[in-house]
Amino acid sequence: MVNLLRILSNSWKNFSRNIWLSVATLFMMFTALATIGGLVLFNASLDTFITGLKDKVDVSVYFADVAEEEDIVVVKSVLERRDDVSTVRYISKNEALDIFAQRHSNNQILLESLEELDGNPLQASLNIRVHNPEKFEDVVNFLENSSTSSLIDTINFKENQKVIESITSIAASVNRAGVLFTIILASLVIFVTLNTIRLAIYTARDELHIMKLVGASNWFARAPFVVTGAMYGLASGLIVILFTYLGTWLLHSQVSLIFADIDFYGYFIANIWSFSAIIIVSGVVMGAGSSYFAVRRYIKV
Amino acid sequence: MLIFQEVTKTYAPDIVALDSASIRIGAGEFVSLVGRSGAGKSTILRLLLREEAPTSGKVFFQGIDITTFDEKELPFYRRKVASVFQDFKLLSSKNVFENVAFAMEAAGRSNKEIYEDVPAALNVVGLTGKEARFPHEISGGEKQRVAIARALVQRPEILAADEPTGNLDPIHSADITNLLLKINNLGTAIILATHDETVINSIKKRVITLHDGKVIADKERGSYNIK
Repeated sequence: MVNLLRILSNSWKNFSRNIWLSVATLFMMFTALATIGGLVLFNASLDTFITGLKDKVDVSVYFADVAEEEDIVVVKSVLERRDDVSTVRYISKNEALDIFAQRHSNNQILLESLEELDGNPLQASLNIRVHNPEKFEDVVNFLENSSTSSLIDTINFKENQKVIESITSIAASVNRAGVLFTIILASLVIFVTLNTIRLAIYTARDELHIMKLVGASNWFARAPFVVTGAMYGLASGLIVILFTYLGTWLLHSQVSLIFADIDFYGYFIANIWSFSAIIIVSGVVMGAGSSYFAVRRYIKV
Repeated sequence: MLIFQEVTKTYAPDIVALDSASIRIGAGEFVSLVGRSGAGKSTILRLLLREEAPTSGKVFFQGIDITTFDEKELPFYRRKVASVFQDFKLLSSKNVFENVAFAMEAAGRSNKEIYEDVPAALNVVGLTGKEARFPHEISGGEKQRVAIARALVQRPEILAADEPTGNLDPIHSADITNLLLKINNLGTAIILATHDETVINSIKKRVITLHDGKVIADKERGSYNIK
């Protein structure tokens, strides 16, 4: 316990008595952790974008006029029980007519032509969305081979297939690019942080040498630097969290004008604990870990 | 207590710093190592501190071959062999009190012992009242006193002093020499490496003379005599 208190005391003295070095190191770690925080928000927005993209893809199943509403509702509930199906929306013949009329409310000729017809020419349909656009084909095959296939007039999957495949491909590419970008940037950030800490430790190499010569054990010489590194990580992490809160709060209305689907502030608040944990753990691990390895070469006396 | 047995130290490619040196030093002795620069004085002290290992030969301290110590055993050994250097080797981010106390903290001594021994050691070296000063705020002579106080609190068996007066003026050099004699009178063996003629001739203790890495003379009451 006494040794632990001594280590903490020596760590604080390292931190506070080399104030310019501490400020410079804090600034570098802040930059590194802010980049990591930015990557977290970036990946969250990327997920939102990809989800949004996938959500725009749907398939409609049009039922023949002989299909009764109860039958269509049965098909709906069967589809909803599938794991690969996200949502199924039933659009009755009347609702379809209302949607059509609304969509073409400026086209009087079209609307008058409709009134001329006997009955409602539009079909009842089910609008299907899946979790993964690659699963559309499975759902369509299921419907075409099911006992209710005789009720189905058309499925617009084939017409949309190329679009669906393009969107799926784009989403996958964006995801891969995002992962690669994250890995590269995070690696750069970690590399810069490691070298910043190494430089800070380099300035203390003589002190480490002296400590070993007067009889300090490796851990007694090393521990204050490791704890100081962790302190740098913790302090800069807390500053990053504060800046992220202020930044997303102040800018979220401007950001939503450009990216309507993305709410950084909302995401941050909803995930504040996990975001903070990622930042602080990253900071402490980078700071303490860098110090541990940087000190190693100078205590081999 | 301390035996150098046919110790040779070479540095690549073919620099012989010490050549089959054999020395025996008893408990409580005061021994000066003299010689020109490059004679091997500092090499002996570095080997004693296990900063380096001999190329051949053995070094025994209290009957134990110190070359066999591993990383975990070295700190315990170094607490028994204190050292004072020409460049003082103080911790720049710690004040006078903390520099002296560090040696005790590293040895795991209690706060009570630290708060008793450190002021006492600073009193012996004449630095009472300067506990809060940092190394850059004190003179060269005072820095060396801090280093000696740090050595004192370790209560070492041997104190190795490598050119402790090298960066000091004659007055401060005399002060440091007197302090070393005082410590020796308390029972600590002193090994003093120096090429300061005045210091050697004033001490009138055992002198081992080195030349090109070899021991060429060993006199009980020696004087500075380098060809």
